[in-house]
Amino acid sequence: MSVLEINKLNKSFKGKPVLKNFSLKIDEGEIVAIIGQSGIGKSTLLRCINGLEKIDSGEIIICNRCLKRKMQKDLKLESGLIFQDYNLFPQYTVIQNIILPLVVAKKIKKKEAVIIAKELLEELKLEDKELSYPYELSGGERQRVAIARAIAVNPKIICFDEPTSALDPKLVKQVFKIIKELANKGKAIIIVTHDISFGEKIADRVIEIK
Amino acid sequence: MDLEYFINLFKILINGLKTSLEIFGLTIIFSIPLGIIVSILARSKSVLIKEITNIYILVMRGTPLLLQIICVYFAPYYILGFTYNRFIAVIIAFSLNYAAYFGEIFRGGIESIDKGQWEVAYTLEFNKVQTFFIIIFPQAVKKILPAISNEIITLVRDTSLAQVVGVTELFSLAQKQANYKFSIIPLLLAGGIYLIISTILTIGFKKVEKKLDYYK
Repeated sequence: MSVLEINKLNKSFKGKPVLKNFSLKIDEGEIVAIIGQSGIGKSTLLRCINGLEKIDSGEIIICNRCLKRKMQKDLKLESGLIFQDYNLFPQYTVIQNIILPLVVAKKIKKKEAVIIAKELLEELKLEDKELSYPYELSGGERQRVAIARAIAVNPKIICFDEPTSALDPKLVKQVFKIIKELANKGKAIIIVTHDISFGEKIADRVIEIK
Repeated sequence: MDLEYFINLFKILINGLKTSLEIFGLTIIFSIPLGIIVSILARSKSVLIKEITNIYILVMRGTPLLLQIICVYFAPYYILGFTYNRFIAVIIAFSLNYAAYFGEIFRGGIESIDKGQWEVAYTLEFNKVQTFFIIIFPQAVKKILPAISNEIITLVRDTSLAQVVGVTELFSLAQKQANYKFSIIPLLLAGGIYLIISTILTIGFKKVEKKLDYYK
């Protein structure tokens, strides 16, 4: 079943077109890698899907609901974005980073949020880091916290912006495994990467933006 | 000059100190929330709101606080023909003045926070108010604390300006005593009291800075 459908998406910055008539359809459990040169609009695509950029024309359909120019509030949590630099909240501990969106945005009781967060931390092998602050973590650990935070709200689509750019080969393997597991659980995954070999290895489909 | 003289002088100055501390405390209570509002308005998408806020900040920072106190107290009399409590006028003038400074400090602090923090909060469905108070503001506070502590310590000294509209605070009482006794001692004692308060605040802020040092 298709969870994301993008039809003839156009996006420009100050009159300069970045995405031109871009179309894409992704099913549940599918991994799609988006590759292309720097500045071609790969990250912009993820930002459009996650409502961080208003699109000029076209449509983005998430879970059969259409997102035209502006992101509707109830669609936001259907898609999660793991930023290239993770953007963890530095003043909060690992577990607080994961709990906050659940409590603040999803209005889940703190007790339940803690249970969800602890399960995710265990799954991502971060159980011993729950009281650490982001600055105390390695790059790979930070990324896993960002993944845990994004998937805690149970989105249907998970977008990764350059997931391997700051990781050594061992950690790349770890991320590979995590992404595959997420796809096996039925999440639709979009990976934007400049690392073509990683994209080809992990994805069911590779799309090049030209 | 005997001990009794010092004790009496000290008692007189303590009365003035109470007023100075009231001005200090009330100014902090009103000017910090007002400063947060100013910092939000200064970043408004509306050009009109932004420009009005900028003019307000310019006037408050570009004219002497002394003049502002005089204007706030006397303007209603000259324009509308009524007078009001001079202590209230002092609080209004101080709060408006310090809100402009705090507003600019807050604005700088907020703008220094990585845009990605706003964006990730947006994708996680925090609304703007939640993003501001739960994510952005706590990070900004850590960055602006040294500048805020500077302003607050300056405020301790500035309270002496309240005497311009006849509010009897610490320094005005010290001046009166100095004139009455032809002695510089009351002024030095008042200076010592300002120094003690500033020192306490400096130590306090250092402790808060250290407390906020739990993350980077």
